[in-house]
Amino acid sequence: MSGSNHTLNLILAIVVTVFCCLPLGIVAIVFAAIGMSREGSGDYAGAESAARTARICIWISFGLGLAVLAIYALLFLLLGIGTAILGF
Amino acid sequence: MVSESANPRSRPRPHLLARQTATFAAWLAPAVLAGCGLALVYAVDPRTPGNYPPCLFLFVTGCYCPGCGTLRALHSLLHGDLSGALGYNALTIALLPFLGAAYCHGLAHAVGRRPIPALRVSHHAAWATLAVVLAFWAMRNVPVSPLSALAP
Repeated sequence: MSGSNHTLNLILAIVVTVFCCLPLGIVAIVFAAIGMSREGSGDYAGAESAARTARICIWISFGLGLAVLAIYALLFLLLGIGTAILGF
Repeated sequence: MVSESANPRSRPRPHLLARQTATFAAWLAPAVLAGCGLALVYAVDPRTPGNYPPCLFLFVTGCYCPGCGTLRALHSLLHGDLSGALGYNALTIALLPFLGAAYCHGLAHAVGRRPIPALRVSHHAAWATLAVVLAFWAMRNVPVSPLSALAP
């Protein structure tokens, strides 16, 4: 396991924390940091497991953020079509 | 892929080229996505309520999350208003140079001709980042004069 993967996890965790507006990003930062600490102390299996948890949190956070955006866009579109048809 | 597995040594170059192209695409995609997002945020004002979905955390709990105000901050920054951007979300603006630098390093590392050393961040920096984000999150929810400046 190379160090750059943990760094990438940390960076992606920060990105989802700031852009996806979900506290799950904080959890991702925690696990990315745990992974880096464990790798530093030589616990490579533990580091890999923490990195996997971090990546799962990142993907869930990203997916939820995207889902909120998609649902909102759909509602916006439906509302627009609805008002256009009803002539408000 | 089938021909490659049948005789792996016959054509190493196209395989390498395909891998490089795939890596380049994988690194280019986030930049294109970010560019489209920034163009949208530039054009459509996030300060107008209803233009963008509300933050899920703010919607459910009524408290600001560390990312609240990011779109307004980016909109302000793209229109040249740095102080306004810092007022909406100082954390995002402070992290942007780091994210940009990390992306450029990753891109150079992945597609550059000359190998460059991998980006290594110490775990102390990771824990410090966590502390900063948590402190920012807590402070911006305190409605007292100096701290309330951190709220979006």
